Amino acid sequence: MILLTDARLDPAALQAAVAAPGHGGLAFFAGAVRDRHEGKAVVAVTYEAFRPLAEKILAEVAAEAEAATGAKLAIAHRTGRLKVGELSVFVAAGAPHRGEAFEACRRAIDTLKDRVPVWKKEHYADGTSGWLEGCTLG
Amino acid sequence: MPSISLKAAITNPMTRRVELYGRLRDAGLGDAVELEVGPKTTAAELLRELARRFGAAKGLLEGSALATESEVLNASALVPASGVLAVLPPVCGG
Repeated sequence: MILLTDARLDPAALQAAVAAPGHGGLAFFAGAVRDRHEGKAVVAVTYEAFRPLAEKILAEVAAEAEAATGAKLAIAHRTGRLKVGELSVFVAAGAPHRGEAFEACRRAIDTLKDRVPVWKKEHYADGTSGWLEGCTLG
Repeated sequence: MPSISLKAAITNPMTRRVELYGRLRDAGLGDAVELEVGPKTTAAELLRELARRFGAAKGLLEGSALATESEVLNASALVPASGVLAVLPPVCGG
């Protein structure tokens, strides 16, 4: 399950996507909008994506982590304007044991941050806003 | 050294719409630009032309890459003759 959506994320749906009778280990990573960045008060973050390529690379990220660990993965990423505390990304991993599930989760979120064409613009309490620096593609 | 526009340097140019994302939309050119692209235009050449178009805001393009809907293009790759083109600044999802 790969999802890039303007809608609120549904962790239960992602958990269900990786659950299986043989999966005794389920691990999750949730990223949420933080209220501060480099000393500035953040009130919201806008997430923007180059959708077709972002969906393709999200699927690649999941497939690579699955191949490396044997776990099953589901990833969802938000787009649009999110308030502080809202979930921006959710990764679910299911595997027979916790080790593979934790490893798959970490691999997926770390790779996602480096490769998926998504950008975030922070909106600050003082009325200003700014795009965050990131990782160069290619 | 005088600059040579991409349009003047290519034969059989086609006007292509190139989408802009992230901080590139702060250059004042909106969410897309139209550029003249020829059959032998490379990604690097297109980005150089875009930098010319950005003018004083060309620093926003640092670290950016040209992409299609299915891949990020290497600098030496030829610009595909059809399909969506997008310029992607450094990414920061999550």
